[in-house]
Amino acid sequence: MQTMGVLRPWASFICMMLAFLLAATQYVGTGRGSPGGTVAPFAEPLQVEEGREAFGQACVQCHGMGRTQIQRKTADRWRDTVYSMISRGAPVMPDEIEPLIDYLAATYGPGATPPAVGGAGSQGESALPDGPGRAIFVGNCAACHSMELPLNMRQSEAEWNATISQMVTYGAQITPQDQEILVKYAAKHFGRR
Amino acid sequence: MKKAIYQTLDNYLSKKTSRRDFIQAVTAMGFTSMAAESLLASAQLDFGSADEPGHSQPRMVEGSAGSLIVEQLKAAGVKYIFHTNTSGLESITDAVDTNEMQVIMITHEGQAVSAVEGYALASGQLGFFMGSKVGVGNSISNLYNAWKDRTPMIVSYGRSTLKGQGGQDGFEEWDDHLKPTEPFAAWSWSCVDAESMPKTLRRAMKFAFTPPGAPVTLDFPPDLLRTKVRAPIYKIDPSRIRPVFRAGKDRIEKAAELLAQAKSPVFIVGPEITRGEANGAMVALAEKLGVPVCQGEGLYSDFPTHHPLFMERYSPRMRFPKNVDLVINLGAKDVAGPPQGGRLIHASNDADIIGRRNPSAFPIHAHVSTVIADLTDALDGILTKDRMSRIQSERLAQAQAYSQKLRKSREITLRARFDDSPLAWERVGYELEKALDKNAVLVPEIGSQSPKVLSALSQGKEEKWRIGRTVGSALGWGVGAALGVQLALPDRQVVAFQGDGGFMFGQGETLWSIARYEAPILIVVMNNHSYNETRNRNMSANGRQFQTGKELTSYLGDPDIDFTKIAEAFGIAGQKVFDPADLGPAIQRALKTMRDGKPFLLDLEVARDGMLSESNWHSPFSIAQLGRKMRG
Repeated sequence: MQTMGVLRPWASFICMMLAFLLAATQYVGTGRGSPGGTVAPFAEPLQVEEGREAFGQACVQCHGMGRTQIQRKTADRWRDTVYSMISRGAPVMPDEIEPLIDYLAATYGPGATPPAVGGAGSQGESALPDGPGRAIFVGNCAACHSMELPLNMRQSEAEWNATISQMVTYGAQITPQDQEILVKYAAKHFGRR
Repeated sequence: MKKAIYQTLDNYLSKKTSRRDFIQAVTAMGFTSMAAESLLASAQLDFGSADEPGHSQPRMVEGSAGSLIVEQLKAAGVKYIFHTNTSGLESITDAVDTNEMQVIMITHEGQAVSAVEGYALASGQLGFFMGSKVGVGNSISNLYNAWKDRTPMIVSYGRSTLKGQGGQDGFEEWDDHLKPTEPFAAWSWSCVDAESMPKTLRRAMKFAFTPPGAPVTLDFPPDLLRTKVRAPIYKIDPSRIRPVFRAGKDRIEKAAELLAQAKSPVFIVGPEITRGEANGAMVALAEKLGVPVCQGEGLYSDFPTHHPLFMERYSPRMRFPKNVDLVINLGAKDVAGPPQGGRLIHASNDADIIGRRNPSAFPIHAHVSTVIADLTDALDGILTKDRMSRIQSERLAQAQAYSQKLRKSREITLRARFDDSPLAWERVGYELEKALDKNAVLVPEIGSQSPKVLSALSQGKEEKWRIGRTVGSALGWGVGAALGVQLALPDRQVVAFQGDGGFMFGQGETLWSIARYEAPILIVVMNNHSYNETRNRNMSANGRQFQTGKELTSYLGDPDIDFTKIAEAFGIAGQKVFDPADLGPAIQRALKTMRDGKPFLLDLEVARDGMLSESNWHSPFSIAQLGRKMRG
C-alpha cells in the first residue's frame, strides 16, 4: 500500500502528460520513423499506467530511458520493438505486452512532446532551493521529468527513499552515495509539513 | 599480475631462481602457499631436464630442429598444423607425415588464428599455428579475441635468419616483430638456439595452459630450423598440465554459510565451468537450493538454457529473483555487482578478474570445478536434507512460474511474426530447433539480435553446444572458428551463424579451406543489410545522424550481396531465402548436403530492428563522378 501511495503523484503526472500528449498527437504531424503507420488509439489510462509499470520493471533495467525517450513511433512500430525486446530477453509478462505497447505509443507516439517538459534550465530549476542534493537532482532527475514535479510533492524521508529507489529501477543513474544525499535534500525541502 | 606470475615461472624454469625464491615470490603476490606449491608441482612437469623426477623418460631424436618441433608436437598429441602461406618454415612441413598429422591451409593469418581457437575451444587440446612474420599484423585481431577468451594455443611465425639478416630493415624484415603480440600473449619468445627448440615448445605449452590460459607467440629463424640437432622429446598431454588450485576450507565454509543464509541468491556461471567439465555438477549445485542461474560472458553455454532455473543475463535490477542479497560468480568475468546491501562471492582461477569491477567481492582463487564440488559438500554439512528440500521446492516453483510466463511471451512474439518477410529471427530459431541434431554445435558471430534466434535453440554441454561469440567481439572470427570446431568434432553438426557484416570482415576466403577439406558446416548468414548492433548504439546518442535520418556508417544493402554466389565460387552449395514458407525446405536441403559430407550456405533475408532500422539511406558518393568532375 505504501508503494501505491508513493506512486500516486507520479500516476497523476503521467495521466496529465498523457492527456496533453494525446491531444497534441491529433494536431501535430507524424514524426520521422512513422511512415504509413497508425496513430495510437486512445488508450485507457489504467492500461497505460500498467504499461508504465511494465516499462519500469522490464525495460529500463537494461537500457535506461534514454533511447526510448528520443524515439517517436506509431503503435505498430512500438509493437514491433516490444516483440523484438521480448525475443532478446526482456522480461515482459504476457499480460503486460498490450499495456506496454499502449504506454509507449501514448507517451512516445508520433509528434509527442518529451515528458521532460520543464527540465533542466526551466523555471522549475530556479525554484529548487540550494543544498547538497540540488546538483544531483538537476543532473539526474531532470533528465527525465519536470522540475516542478517534486515541488508539488510532500513526503517523509522514507517515502522519498522509496520514490528515488523506484526511479533507480526505472533507469536513473544515481549512485547509492548520491541517493542518500538526494533523499535528505528532498525530505528537508519537500518533506511532510 | 598474470605477467608477473609468468615471469616468475619463467625465471624458475630457466633456473634463474630457486624453488624457495619461487614460493616466496608467488606468496608475496597474495597467493596461498598451497596455491604456490600447486603451481610449482605443475611447473616441475616442465619436462625441461631428463633428470627431473615424476615424468616419463624422454626419447632422444636426431634431425633438423624443424623436424624435432614436429616430433614434439606429435608427442603432445597435436594432429593439425594450421598454416598460412609463407616461406622459411619448410623444414617443419618437410617433417610432416600425413599419416599422422595434417597441415590445414588457411588463406589469411587472421582466419587461421580463429580456426586454431575454434579447434582449441571445442577440443580442449592444444592448437598450433605457423605463418609468416609479415602476417603478424593480420593475425592480431583474432589473437586479441583468443586472449580475451583465455584460450590456450600457440601462434608462431617465421622470421629473418639469424646469420646475415636482422636489424637492417631488409627484405620483409622489421625489428621486434613479436612485440605487437605481447599484450595478447602469456609469453612471447624468439628462438635463438636450435637444440632448445623442442624444450622452448614445451615451455610454450606450459605457459599457454597455466591458468587462466592464454595464447603464446613464438618465432623460428629458418637457418636454425634447418640445423641438425639431437634433443629429447617428451610424451605429454598439455591439457593435463594445467595446475589445479583448491580453495582453503575456511573460504568454502564461509561461502557455504552465506549461501545457506541468503534469502535470494543468484549464481553467475562462466567458461571456467565448461573448461573444468563441471557443467553437470553446476546443475546439481543450483538445484540443491533452487538457486537461479545467469550466464556470464557468453563464450560457451555453461548451463542448460531451457532449465527452469536459467535466467539468462544478470542485472542488479533483474525482475526475478527480486531483492537479490547474494551473487556467487563461478568462473565468469566480474560483472555488475549485487544490489545495494547484497554480497558478492567471486570464484575463479584467474586472479586478474576476481573483483576487478567489484573490489569488495569475497574472493576465492581456485579452480572452479573444485569450488563447485567443495561448496556442494559444505552445504550438505550445514543444512539438513529436509531443510534443503523445502528451500529448493519453494524457489524452484517460483522460478518455473516465472520462466513459463516468459516462454509464453516469446510464443506470442513468435506467433505474431511467424509469417513475416523479411524473415523473423524467431522463425529461424524455431525452424532450426526442429531440424538440427540434439547435439549440434552452434558457433555464432551475430550481434545484439542473436538472442532472437539462439534463445529458441536448447543449449547446454549435453545439448546443442554453443561455442562463441568470442568475448573479444572483434569481427571476422566466426567462419574460421567454425572450421576449427568442425575439425575438433567431425562427427557433429556444426552451424556457423554469421551476420552479413561480420562475414564481410575478411571471412569469405575461408570458404576455400572449408571446401578443400570437405568440412560439412552449415553457414547461416543472417542478412539484414546492416551493422544492426552498431547502428542502434550510435543512434541512441541522439546525434545529427539520428535526428536527420541520414546515417552514414551502417547500411550494407547497396550493393546487395548474394552470399550464395560467393559460396558458389568455392564450389559450395547454397540457397537464398526470402519467403518464410521456403525456410524449412531450405534447411532440410542443407542438412542433406551436410550428411553427404559437404558444406552449405543459407543466405537468409532477415529483419533489421532498432533505431533507424527502416532507413535504406546512404550517402550517394561516387568516385567515378568525382573523376568526371575533375576531368571537366
